[in-house]
Amino acid sequence: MEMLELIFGNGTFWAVLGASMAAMLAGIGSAIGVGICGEAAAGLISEEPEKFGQTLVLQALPGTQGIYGLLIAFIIMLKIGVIGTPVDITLYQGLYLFAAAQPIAWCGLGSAIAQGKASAAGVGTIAKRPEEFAKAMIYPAMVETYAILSLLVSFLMVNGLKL
Amino acid sequence: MSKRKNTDYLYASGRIRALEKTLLNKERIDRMLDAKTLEDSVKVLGDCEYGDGQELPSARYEELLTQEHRKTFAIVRSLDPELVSVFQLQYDYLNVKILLKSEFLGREEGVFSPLGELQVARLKTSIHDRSFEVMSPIMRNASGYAIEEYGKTGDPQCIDLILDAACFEEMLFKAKNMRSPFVLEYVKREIDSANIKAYARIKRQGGNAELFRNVFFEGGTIGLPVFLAHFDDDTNTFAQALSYTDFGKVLEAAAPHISAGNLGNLEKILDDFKIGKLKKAKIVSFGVETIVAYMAAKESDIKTARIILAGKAADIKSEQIAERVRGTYV
Repeated sequence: MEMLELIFGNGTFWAVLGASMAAMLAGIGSAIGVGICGEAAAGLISEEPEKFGQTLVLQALPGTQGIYGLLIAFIIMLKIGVIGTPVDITLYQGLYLFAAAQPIAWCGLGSAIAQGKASAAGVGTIAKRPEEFAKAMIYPAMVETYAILSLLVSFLMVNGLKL
Repeated sequence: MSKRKNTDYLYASGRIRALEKTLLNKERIDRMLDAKTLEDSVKVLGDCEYGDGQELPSARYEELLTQEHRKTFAIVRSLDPELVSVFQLQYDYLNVKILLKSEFLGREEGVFSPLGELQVARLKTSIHDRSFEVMSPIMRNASGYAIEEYGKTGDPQCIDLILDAACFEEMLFKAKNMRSPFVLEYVKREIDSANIKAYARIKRQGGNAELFRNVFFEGGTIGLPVFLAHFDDDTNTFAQALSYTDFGKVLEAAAPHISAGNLGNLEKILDDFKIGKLKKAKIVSFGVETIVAYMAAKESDIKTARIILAGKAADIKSEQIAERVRGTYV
């Protein structure tokens, strides 16, 4: 019981958990999304290897959420001194950082998977009409909006905390 | 077999989308029809990457089409081995029918289909020694039953009926195992189409409902009672009775041809209906639908190419050939 109190009553623990979730969930989403598009791209490349460049751009799109998650995790780590000078933070501040990391963690996970599917569908478009590559890229790029919005919210909240 | 998710078909769908560019479209069909010679017509198929790269004289177009059919089966097998059986089974059953009939009627074996999955030599041995070892349980039971029935009746038609029914039964079994509504609907439509063709054939021969009962295949969406209840009605009334199914409109369009005993036109209407139904796979980004539609579209293309090339070889006018050409998927 004392051990649990020690863990869950510790602000640093909650801040680190938030940073972990941001990097981990957004990273999982990106891995799944990039994998989904990669599979579809491999199918197309088996018939038309010259479309490698176009498919690579589509495959890269769902990879950004992982980077956003990493960014937020990095800022939290800097703030609490995991990197650099250690800072003492209260339980309230730790819980605040944990909450601030949630938007990019969860929205990163969901949006990367959805974006991977839209990118895979784009692979089908460029299989038939390579000249419509730009249009095929815009549909999955639309999904990015929501990952950016959650990144912005997480960033502003993390940045808004003065330690 | 557990149900496969649509994301299990990502690679397959990417590959199929690239392959769909080699399907025949209206422009290519027009080029084939307008070609002055058979050779020019075959060249269009060359542009669509038909065959296995081997140079063939245009007169051997049948070989080219068989190569293309086999190549398509091989591609689909590499993408989904379970699915390819749904399409390939009919050729195995055809070979079993040829083997059984040649044995019973004591005549030379006919031309075997090179499109089956099972090797003809192994099929032949397993039928000869009655071990049926290379066969699936459904094919084994049907072969045994056909042999027994022929022994009783001496009617070679029973071999066709029993094995055709078993073929559809196995197609349905495999489709159910795949747990894909799209594949199941496809097979059910195939069974319905076969039943409608049988209905038209018997009507043309002046046969009765009892005769139809013997040739009816189970498993489709239109049950035997519906056919029997309307067998003596004219085709338009039957079409109205079927208006609750997709086949109502098909039968309505086919009614004049059925009345005139023109089964060729009926077959074209049913083929076009099949391709029309598959077009919804075009808006599926990834899933088994893309493979099913590609396989069926390729089979339809091969049929169209055969109609055009046979017409060209026989010096039939392009306009006359065009009347029999099937609709395209792309």
